[in-house]
Amino acid sequence: MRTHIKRITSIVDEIMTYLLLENFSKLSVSVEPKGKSTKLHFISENDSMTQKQLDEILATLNQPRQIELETYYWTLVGESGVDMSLNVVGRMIDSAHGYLENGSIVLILHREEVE
Amino acid sequence: MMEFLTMLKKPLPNRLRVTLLFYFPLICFLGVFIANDPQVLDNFVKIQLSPAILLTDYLEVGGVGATLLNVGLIALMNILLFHYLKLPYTGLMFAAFFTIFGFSFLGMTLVNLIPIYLGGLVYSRFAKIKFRSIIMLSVFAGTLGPVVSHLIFGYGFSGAWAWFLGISIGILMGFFVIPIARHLLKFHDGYNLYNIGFAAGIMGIIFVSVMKSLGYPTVRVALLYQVHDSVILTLMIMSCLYLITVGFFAEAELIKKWKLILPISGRAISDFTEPAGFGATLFNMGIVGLMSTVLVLILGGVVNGFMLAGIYTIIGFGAFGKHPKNIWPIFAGSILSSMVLGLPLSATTTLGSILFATTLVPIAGAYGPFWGIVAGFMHVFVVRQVGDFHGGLNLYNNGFAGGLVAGVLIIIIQTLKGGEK
Repeated sequence: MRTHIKRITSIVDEIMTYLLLENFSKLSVSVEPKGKSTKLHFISENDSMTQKQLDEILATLNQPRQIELETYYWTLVGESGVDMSLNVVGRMIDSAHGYLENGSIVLILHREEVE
Repeated sequence: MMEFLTMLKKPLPNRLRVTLLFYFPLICFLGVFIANDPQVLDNFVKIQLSPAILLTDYLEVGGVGATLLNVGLIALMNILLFHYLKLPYTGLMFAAFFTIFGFSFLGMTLVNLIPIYLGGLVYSRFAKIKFRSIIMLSVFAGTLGPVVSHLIFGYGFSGAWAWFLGISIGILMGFFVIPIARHLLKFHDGYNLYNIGFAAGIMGIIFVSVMKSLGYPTVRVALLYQVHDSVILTLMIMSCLYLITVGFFAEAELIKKWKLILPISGRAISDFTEPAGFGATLFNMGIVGLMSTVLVLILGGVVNGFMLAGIYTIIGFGAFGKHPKNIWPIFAGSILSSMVLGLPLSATTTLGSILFATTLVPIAGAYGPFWGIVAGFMHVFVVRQVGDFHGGLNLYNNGFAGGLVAGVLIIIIQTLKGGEK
């Protein structure tokens, strides 16, 4: 269970680092655990983010979940905020949605706890 | 055949994709018949009973036929395990499969792998996770096989006691290498692809220190096959051509998709099957395999067990981090340092360092060719010294050296690039 929570905090850390590196001016996060599933909600202010950039982020985050990769590599998440880290996050979550709204980006990540 | 290859253009059921791996044990078994060794079974037993310490080239210990039998059986065992566990087809699976395929020429046997896998199974029960979640780590952990073999056949323990020690310590090693390897990833931040080698190197140092203190020193060996064997060279080239051919027929826009791989840094995790697809990934694996084989031949090396371990590992990681663009600076740097040190470039040990230095390709991919050359250059200096630390009980000695180089070099690079700002 502790590992499960640590994995979630690592995902939050990684996404926050990524968004802050992209010059976001204000960032709010909510973590909503419900049974074995967890919803992560990120809202960030950023006028410069384009739909194309958002699509690229979502494509990375929506790569198929791979438990084998997650079990081995999850410790890399939240450490560096560089190139491949979003890739690891993508392997650790079940789905990612997002949209641009009034100069803000909204990202919603969903993760189920599995063995 | 054409129908089968054309069918590959469509998304394949996962199980059918994995069956493509059956080609590799099959060509090994074919090689057993071509080698036509009348003593093949005796030689196979000799390989199983070898202490397996670095560098034990099974082509030298048991000849071509028995070695190919060992490799084929280990490959078959793993493919069946992947099927049984219904593993998804990924770049990591290819990396793991070809790593053990290559090292079955150089230290891995059925005898020493099974206790390590059992350790992984026990860990999965203990941690209450499915075995399939950690099987890839257990496969890579075969690097600790010599610990098992050396306890049973090398230290001089007798009979059942030796077997008890070998199997039980093997299970313990297979158990603990999983959390240790995961933790040590943070040391080099994923810039050393053979991370299990780094973890196993540290575990090996502790194990060897304990054994030495108890009066059981570990003596390294160098049993290397030094014959140009046409069966072995053909096996190598056929493996690469098979991957290139299947890749060619499996992907209609092959070069376009392959170009998607080339900008990827290679840092863990870089699973090429996802952005580039199945065909381009296989094609890349074949290309980096050919590139490595040609390098060995140009430099005048003998394609022996050590070289096969190096080349097949590169082929495997051709699905999980390695491509020509991030490999060449590492090759250049390691060749340069070998020349500075006055090492003969055609020597197996020199070529081994050059091939295995590619564990550091993420540095070239992420920070450019200059730092890739520096990484390759430093790797040769380090790898020549660290093997004695773990007494050759860690087969991925270059993974151990690579972890040390990457962990330090990444900090240097990031500091110079203003990482504190």
